[in-house]
Amino acid sequence: MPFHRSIAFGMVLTCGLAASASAADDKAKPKVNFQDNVLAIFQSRCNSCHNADKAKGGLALETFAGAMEGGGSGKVIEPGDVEGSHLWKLVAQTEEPKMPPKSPRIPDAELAVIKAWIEAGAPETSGSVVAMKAKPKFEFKLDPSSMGKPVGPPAMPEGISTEPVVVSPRANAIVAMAASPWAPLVAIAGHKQVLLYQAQKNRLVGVLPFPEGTIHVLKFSRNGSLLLAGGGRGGQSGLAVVFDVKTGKRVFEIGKEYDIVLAADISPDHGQVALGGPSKVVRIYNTSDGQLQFEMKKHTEWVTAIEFSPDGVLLATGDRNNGLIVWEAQTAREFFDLRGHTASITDVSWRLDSNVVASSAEDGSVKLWEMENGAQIKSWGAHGGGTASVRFAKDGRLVTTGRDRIVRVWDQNGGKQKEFEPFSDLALRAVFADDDTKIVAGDWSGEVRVIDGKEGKRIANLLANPSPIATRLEQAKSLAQAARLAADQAAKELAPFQGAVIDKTNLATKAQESLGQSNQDAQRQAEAVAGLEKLEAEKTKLLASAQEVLKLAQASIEKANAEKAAAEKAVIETTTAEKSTAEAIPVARSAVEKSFNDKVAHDQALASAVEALKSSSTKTLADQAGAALDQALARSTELTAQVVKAARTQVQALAAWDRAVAARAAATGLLAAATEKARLALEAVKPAQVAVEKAGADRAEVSKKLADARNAANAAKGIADARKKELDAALAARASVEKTLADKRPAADALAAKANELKAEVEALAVELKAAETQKTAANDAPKPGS
Amino acid sequence: MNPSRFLIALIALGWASVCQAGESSIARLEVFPKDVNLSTARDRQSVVVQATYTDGITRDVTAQASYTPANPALIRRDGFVLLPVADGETTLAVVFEGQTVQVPVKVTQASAMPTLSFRIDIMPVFMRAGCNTGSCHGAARGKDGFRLSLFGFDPDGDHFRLTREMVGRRVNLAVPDDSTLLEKSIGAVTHTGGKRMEKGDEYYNTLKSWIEAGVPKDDVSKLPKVVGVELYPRTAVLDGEKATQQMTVRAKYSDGTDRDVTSLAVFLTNNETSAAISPNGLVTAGARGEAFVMARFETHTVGSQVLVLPKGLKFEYPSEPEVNYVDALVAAKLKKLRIAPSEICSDETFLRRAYIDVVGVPPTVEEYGRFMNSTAPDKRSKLIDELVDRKEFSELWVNKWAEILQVKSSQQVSYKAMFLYYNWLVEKLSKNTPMDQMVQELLGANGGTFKNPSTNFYQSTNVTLEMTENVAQVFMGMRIQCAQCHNHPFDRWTQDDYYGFAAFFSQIGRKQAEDQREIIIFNSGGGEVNHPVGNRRMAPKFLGGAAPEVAGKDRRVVLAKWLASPENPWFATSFANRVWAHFFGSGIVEPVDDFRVSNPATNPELLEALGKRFTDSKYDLKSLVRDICNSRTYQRSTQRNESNLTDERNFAHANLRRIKAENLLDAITLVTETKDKFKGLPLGARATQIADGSTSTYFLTTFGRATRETVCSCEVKMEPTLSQALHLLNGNTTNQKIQQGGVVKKLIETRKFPEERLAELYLRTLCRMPTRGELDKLMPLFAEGSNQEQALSDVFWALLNSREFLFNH
Repeated sequence: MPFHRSIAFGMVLTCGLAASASAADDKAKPKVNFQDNVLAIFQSRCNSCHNADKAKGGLALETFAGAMEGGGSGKVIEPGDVEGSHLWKLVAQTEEPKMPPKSPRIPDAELAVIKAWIEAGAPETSGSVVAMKAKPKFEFKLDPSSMGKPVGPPAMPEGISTEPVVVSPRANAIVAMAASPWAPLVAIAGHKQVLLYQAQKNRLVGVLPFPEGTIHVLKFSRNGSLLLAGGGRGGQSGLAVVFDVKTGKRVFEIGKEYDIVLAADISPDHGQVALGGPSKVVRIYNTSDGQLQFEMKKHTEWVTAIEFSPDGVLLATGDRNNGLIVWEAQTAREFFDLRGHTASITDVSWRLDSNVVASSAEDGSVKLWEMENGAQIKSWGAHGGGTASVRFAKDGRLVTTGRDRIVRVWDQNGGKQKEFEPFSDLALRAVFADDDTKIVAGDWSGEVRVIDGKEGKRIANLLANPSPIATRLEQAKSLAQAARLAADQAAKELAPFQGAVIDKTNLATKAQESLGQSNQDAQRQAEAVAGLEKLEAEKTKLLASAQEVLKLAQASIEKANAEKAAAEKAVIETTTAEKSTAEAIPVARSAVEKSFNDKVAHDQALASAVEALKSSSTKTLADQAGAALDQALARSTELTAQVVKAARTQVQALAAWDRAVAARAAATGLLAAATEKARLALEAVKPAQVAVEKAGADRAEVSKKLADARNAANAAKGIADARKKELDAALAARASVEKTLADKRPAADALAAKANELKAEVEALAVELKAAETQKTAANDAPKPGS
Repeated sequence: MNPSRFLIALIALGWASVCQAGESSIARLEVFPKDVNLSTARDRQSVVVQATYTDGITRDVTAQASYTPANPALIRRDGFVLLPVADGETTLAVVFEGQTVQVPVKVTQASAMPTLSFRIDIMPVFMRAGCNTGSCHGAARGKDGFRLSLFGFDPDGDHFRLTREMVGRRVNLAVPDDSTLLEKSIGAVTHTGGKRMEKGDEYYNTLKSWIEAGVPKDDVSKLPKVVGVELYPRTAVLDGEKATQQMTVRAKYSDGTDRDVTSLAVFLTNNETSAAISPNGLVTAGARGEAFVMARFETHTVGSQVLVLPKGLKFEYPSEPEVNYVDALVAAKLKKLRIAPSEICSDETFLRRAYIDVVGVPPTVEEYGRFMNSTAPDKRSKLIDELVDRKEFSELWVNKWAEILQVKSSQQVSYKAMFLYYNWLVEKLSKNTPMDQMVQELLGANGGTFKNPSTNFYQSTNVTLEMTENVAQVFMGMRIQCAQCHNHPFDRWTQDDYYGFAAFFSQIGRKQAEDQREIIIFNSGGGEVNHPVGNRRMAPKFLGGAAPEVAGKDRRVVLAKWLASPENPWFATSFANRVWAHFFGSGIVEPVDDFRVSNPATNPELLEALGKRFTDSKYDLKSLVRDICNSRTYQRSTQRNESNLTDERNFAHANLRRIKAENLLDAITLVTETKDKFKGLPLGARATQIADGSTSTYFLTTFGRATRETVCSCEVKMEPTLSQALHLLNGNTTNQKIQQGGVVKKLIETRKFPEERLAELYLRTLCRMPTRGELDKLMPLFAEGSNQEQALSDVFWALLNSREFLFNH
């Protein structure tokens, strides 16, 4: 029995560890025990309060039994586990309330005794056999970070017998079903057996015997490697059995109920198994040693639903009264009491993130609860008359079944996504399978359907009461034979079409080839054209640049001529200016002389006027003389100014003449330069004209070649086009034949595939049957004891 | 012994039947059932052969008889069970001690194996195995998490719970043997109810086959119904302890088929000490007596009478005159039981008995003298005529009616309405109104509770179902309460019957009249009653009768016409039974308001005759009373003889009966010549005349006056209690009344001899002269010098405390 072995192993492990630590001590002195060592400490330190009369906190430490029983808050001594022992934490004063109260710690020597005693398993006397729990077997626990998809291929049965334990004409109601979260594998509860079906080929791949009775619950572990089956015999016994999915071997059995187990689950780390049933008690067992860890007695009716949260932290349980409770899995402390359903809970299912739990009940509703405050976040009527099951898909969709005989898929808002064809009786269980792409559902009459989750179509039916291998082999044989015949017939019918396809393909290939040739030709021609076109462009560019050069040369001639003309004109103008300025000089000189003369003349008049004034005796005469004088004065001033002005003009005329002379000289110089430049420009035009002519000739030659090449290319393309048409015709012909073939082929292929599959099945079954027979024969032939 | 009587007995010897079991010969051979019908391969029929001997003893000779089928190819026999082989008709000759009985046998569909029906085949198994009783899964909340309807009133619900409530547990479709239902029933797994059947027995196999067939449900529309159940033999007279009689039960179905349900019926007996019956229907005689053994199948219960006599009893019935049919029918029963009746009682005894029974008070000294001095041969009969016409007679019956009609003022019923109701009763009974007329007036009453006081009948309760139950109990003597929630376990009444009957009371309208205290009862014309299982609307249907046309009619009027008429078989008999019980202390059906298949009349013929007489006399109470009181049966002594010593139910002797509270108080008041004052009544009124049920005194309450809170006959407590005795001894009633009344003073003043004074007191209280022995013991009290008055008071007090005074005998 693997389970016992595991205990034994655990024990050995623990003892080994203990031995290495204190092997020498063990022999040297007697074990630390309650009677001889600890009791005295308790007497002096604790028992003034913790005696049988006072029993403070419900704890009395006077006797071993009292110490082990514990107090009002539960056990105080966990044999072998010092830090887990409540008493230790308090006397070591690492936790409140510190003991002894309001006092310093008891002496370290005494603490050491208590510690040693607990470590030794808290024996009563030196002769006590320590009933210490084995330390958890480590390999069972998974790394919490790897609780998702397992590394490597998910577990699938390998070579498990498919011989049914019970063969019955009628299938029992499908009360339990589970789908592997990672593999295409569905487990269906039968009477005294679990049926494992491959969910892609819908083939029976294993039968796990469950002689203990009827199975009421099936759960794959979160990594899909273990399968838990809970059940038993109504009114008699119940337990949970865990199988290795790959080998089909029993890993362990847990629970000793006095009635059937109705609900159970294995924790994601495989460390715990919780189960319940008509006893109304939820029990959590430690899988490492099979010991009962917790008993929760809060349910008032039969426990009908149990599931660990995917992170293993919480445990949801439901009962037949409408009680729905979430517990802390590690402590069994109540986490939430979820009130809302009004009738028996039928199923609970956690969302993959462990934050939401769904519950279904006979009141017809499905409710979703969040784990922050324990609030009901959604509730909807899923099935009239009662909802029988609810399961979360990894993506958060839900599938439910109910007394209305229908299987439905919902989104998390309670929006109905799909509804499948009704069963003939109560729809009891449905699971998402094969990576949530399929739904497998079963009903009261034992019918199990595999449904395409997307299309909603029924893919297959799974038998919940499979026949023995021998029978199935016979059936499969005749089926295989028929399938082979049908496949062959189909293949035969297909043959002519296949021939036609080949013919047409050949034709098409030929056409393809010639088309290739033509295309190549055309290509070549086209390439030549392209080369010439490029060349022509180059030549054109060269011509243009030559023309440009020529144009520049001509422009420079014009410019030089213009400059020359301007210079000539400037010479003429400057010469004229020189002459005119030279003429102005004598004029200015005469003006100066005249004005000077005038002045002199007038100075006489003036002097006469002064005389007149001086001579004027009378006033009137004086006044006249004065006036005449004023006049004369004014005239004098005027004449003076004229003299000055004339002199200035004379100076200016002299300067202007000087400038005109200089200008004429410059202009004459410029004219000589311009004349030279014009001559040079005229000479430069000639080579440019020659270059232009040459470039024009080159281009004309290239253009001619190009025209020729273009003609050749057009001709090649015409040929290629014609070939293409031929090819298209050939392809069309082939396609039509192929289409005909394609229309006929799938049926034929399916037939062939089926025939192959059946053949494989026949072979597999034959192998299995033979193996079973060999085993039987071997058993029969084996020498009996005593013979 | 009186020599003349001895002579009469000797003369009559030739006529009287002398029974000597050992010497008698076979008189009649009977085979049950009288014909055998076997249809389908699953059918069978067990037979019982009973021989009746000339001395009346019957013997179960099934095992001793020989069986020869005329055509052996049609049937085969397994023990005493006949099984079909091939279709056809034949006869089975049953021979015993030279007597032959030919039993016609018919076989049809001998090879057909019909599918099992849940209702017909499976439900009876639960009934038989006791699964659906109230203490097991039939409890309202089931047992250990599994519930069946009580006695199977809800087959659809049971089918659901078995197959689809806890899917996968109770039935296992794949491996029926592993169904928890079967595993528990055979005790293979722990079952609180223990082992109910054996693996492989008939019940187990039936259940298993049904599961194998996929637990099919019935198509009710095609299903035949049980229309009747027969239990054979109808009677058995067993000779001494340990004698046995096998019973056989056959059910008849609506499709004309029948079925042997001996193995499915539940057997009961109402007298375990005389005739115990095994679960398989084997009656075993016990102590001498009479028993009624019953078989229950589906909702039908049928019974057979079993008499157990001491082994080899020699018996002689005394020859005596029969006054009327009452005597004849009682004697017939007594002869069957081999019980001799007691002698007729003395005139003194008769006088007191008749006075107390008919008018509720003891005779006065003068009345005693007049009767005792009369030499008329029919003076008893004359006295009865005289008493029946006194007003106390009708007052006594008004009082009885007021008890069962719950005449009582309360929060809801004003004193005035109550008083008017009471006066209505007084008027009806004092005018000797025919009972049918009176009841029809009550049931069909409409109008104000003041203007038409009979409407107060509907004021006793506002609850339709309670009213339904009250009507059945008061006017038909039936307690149908059980059928409210499930089919009556010991009677024929189903929920259908109950709610069909209740539908008559669904349209009672009530409204306030102008006077706050008055309520108007009217026909509201609307309102229906729905069946609790399936919520069907129920059409009004008479209890055990037809469903009448009620459209547009006052349903209560329709009901009244049927109920108080000869069409209702229970009306006259239940009332006659109440009257009978008044005069004998127990009814022919006892309790008087518990007519039930499983509580049969001890003398059905007598009950029927009384009912018929009552009907024929146009429901005249007085003539019924005259018949009863004139009979020799009524006038028998309470002194028992050897043969009727243990008999309590067959009226072979008179019974000691404590006097009813009101009558007792009236009697004390009368003999002490005092006056009582009751609330609302003038000084000197008698306790019997108290109208209001809520008016009482300590005395009346102590002596068990009805509180009128329910219609039950058990309200009147007749059991003696310690507080009654203490009250009479120490309480203020007797002592004060002796002081107040001055009877003793008057006697002292008469200057008579002490013996005469004592005789006067004896006549006054006990209606007889003191005996010699009593005088010898009492006389010393009256010796010279003693306080004569005190001594006389003491004797008076002692007499009032004597059992002879407190009891009618």
